[in-house]
Amino acid sequence: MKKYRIGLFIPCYIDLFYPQVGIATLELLEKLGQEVIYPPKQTCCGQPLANSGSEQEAIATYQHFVNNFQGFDYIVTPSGSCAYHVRRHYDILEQTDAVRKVRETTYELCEFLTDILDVDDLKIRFPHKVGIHQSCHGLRGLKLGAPSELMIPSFSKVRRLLEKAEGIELIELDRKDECCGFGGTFAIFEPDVSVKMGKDRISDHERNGAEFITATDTSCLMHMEGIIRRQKKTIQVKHIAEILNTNSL
Amino acid sequence: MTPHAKKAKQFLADEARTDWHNQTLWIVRKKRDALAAAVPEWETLREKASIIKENVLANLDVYLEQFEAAALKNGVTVLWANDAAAFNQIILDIIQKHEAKNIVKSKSMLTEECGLNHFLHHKGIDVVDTDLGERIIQFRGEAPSHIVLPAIHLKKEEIGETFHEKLGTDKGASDPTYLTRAARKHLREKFLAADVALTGVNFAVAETGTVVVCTNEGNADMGVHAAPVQVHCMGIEKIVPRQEDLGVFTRLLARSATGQPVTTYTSHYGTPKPGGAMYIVIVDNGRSKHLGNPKYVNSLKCLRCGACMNTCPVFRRSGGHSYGYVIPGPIGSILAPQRTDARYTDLPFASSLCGSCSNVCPAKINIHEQLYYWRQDLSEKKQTSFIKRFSMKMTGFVLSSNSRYNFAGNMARKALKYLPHKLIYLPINAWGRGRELPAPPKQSFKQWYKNNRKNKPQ
Amino acid sequence: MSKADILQSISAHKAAFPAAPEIPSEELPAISPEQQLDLFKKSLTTAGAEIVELSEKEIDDYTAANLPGALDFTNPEIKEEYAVAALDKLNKIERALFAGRFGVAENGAVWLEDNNLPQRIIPFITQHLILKLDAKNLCANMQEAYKQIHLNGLGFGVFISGPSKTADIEQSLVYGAHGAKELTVIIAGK
Repeated sequence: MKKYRIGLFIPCYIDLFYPQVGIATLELLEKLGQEVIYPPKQTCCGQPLANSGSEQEAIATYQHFVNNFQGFDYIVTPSGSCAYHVRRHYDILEQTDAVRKVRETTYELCEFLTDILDVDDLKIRFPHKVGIHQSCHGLRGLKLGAPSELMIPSFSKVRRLLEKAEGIELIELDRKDECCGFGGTFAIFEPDVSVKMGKDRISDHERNGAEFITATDTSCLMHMEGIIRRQKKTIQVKHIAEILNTNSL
Repeated sequence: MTPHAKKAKQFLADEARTDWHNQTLWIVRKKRDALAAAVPEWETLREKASIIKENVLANLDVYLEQFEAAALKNGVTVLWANDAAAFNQIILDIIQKHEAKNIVKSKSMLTEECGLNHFLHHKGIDVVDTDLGERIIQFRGEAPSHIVLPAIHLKKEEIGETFHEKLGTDKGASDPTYLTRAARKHLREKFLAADVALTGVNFAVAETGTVVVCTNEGNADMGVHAAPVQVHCMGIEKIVPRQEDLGVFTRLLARSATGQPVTTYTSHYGTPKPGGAMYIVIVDNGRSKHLGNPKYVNSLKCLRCGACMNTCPVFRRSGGHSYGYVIPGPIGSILAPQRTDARYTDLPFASSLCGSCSNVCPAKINIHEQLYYWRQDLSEKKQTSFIKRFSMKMTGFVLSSNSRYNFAGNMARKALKYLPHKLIYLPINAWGRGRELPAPPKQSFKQWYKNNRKNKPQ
Repeated sequence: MSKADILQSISAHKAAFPAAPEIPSEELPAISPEQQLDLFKKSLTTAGAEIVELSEKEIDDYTAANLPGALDFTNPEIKEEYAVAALDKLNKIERALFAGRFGVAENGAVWLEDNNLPQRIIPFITQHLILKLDAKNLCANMQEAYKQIHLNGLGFGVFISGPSKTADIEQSLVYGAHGAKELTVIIAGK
């Protein structure tokens, strides 16, 4: 396997509230022989600002991101949404070589594993019933899989990484890629619709027998976990990095 | 809370009904999927539709003049309206010129947009909406909650009650066939007595001057062929260049809209009937000024199929009326702000930006990206609340510096750890309504990394 | 004047696209005549129509026995009589029979136009519509269909696929909203 010099981008809510997801991502990439560096001055990709309509206020944050992630072969993050934001919406910065390079080389973890490292069998054992929550920005933005609306051949980079796990049972959902209702600041400005969407998503996983809901994005999982805990449900959430890092490589 | 969020909360108060609304529209989405999947060239068709519309929008003045010339040759009177007021006046003039008393109208979102019924009502003229769903909501004095399924917010019992009151159907009767038959009888009388029939337009063919109207009920044809005067109302963007382009659009429209391979009737009106009069009214009403805006011009490709509403997880759970604009849902949320009306500035925020709308759109409009652009533009024009803008400025200040970020992050985790539950979940905390906050970990990733990988080179 | 204003505004706001894109030409998968007939029947059934397959000489007997009182508008005398009939008389039509020009396999639509119709309203105002169609006159889809018609100068033409329908009450499908409550398609040439 080729060895790359990787800048590890840990989104703000993972850093603050879900460090275990960051740790799993780091350990997994290290196990795969990659040189992983966490630029210590990083903060956030700026998406919370931009999605609220404050793209202009985010420019300093964007610039801060670009400055912190200079000089890596790839920038890898356990978040489809943040990777998509850097790639798609950093178009408002002046497109210097540095900006262009950062945008082109920022990858969501699963995408990096399948597209760049070309691995799919991570020798995982995860004997559980797992439902895949297709986080929207990863699915429809980064095209990590074929969304149900498009009449294109079916594929899923996330499923490809999980289905070889020993003992795993990937359950089928009634609505295979409906949004969970997190949507960044949408969760705050439209709390009732947001919570209802989350409840419905969780029910779909429960109804179809999932023990775990996994996703490429901790933000979706944080939202659903918040509802699960409030409603004292037993189903659990687990970021895909945590499952993939249970391997014995 | 924004107006949309408030109205959504009211809609969601009846959870069983919300679930019904959600599931019913989801079934329409699934029918759409099945029908689209049966067309091997589906994605190519969408691409073609998008390109044809691009060609139309880039040459719109040329096509409109070509269309008018062809329609004039067909013996049609063509009238032009800059805005809603001019449009309404044109319709009133036609009605008065023909001394018409009885007006029937099949579905036209354009006349809704222009407030035609309301305008005519104040001039003493009552228009009868003849689409069943539209007649139902007209009886109830409501606005359509969906552009293709205008009465989707209602239960059959409520419709039964309305029909009992307005049409004398049996009290408590709610069988859809029974109610539809009652409406058929009632509206057939209206058709037979009609002096003027108004319709919307799905497509207007530039090279032939023909207008095309698609319905399942046959109400456009009943009105148009029964009344001596037929009036077709179209936005400037309804043009397709050539007859053959209709092949692309008629394959996409009903499959996207209702999951049917085609509507029951696809009617092509070219010339007036013998002894009759035919008018086509071409309306701008603010459309042309968005042609030059690369961010928003694609919104003018819309076929008004409603597929984005059926797939939208927010629309299905908040109902069409929560949007407060004549066209609700994702497409409405990018069309409404074009009206530069302060009432609609919250609509681009009434979305989780999941992107499903853009994927079902038969004309490949990048709806979710335009929602994102509108958010930027509205906030730049200072049309979002001061508190929101101030908090965003502060957030930007924190996130653009490592030390400010670290300080804020530590405070947040400490607050979650030490503050009592009651204080964290004050009513002001929108997150806490229905959700717990994450349990604060002992240390952030940043701290963990420092402790565990400190020998790493930087 | 509004027209000048609108055209002026359009040209003033033009050029949102780098160049007017060329409309691509068609490349459609071909299907055999047998497949077309099967698909046509399937589409019509889904659309709520009744299908009868007969040879040309069986049609008269069939309609006499099964569709009593049907007005045959392929008959020039009947066509002429109804060309001048008032709405009240048209509203009493129970069954009306027309010859469709051609049918579309992918959606079961049948094309009718002015020269088939003594008055445009008849296929809609009749309670039961009967369309006769030669099995040879089918095309695969709407893109093929539009190659077979000439809208230029045409007064009125319509694709009809199934009886009139609505689902405006709780999405329950009901046939016979305003147009014909029933549609029978007679496919001739068995």
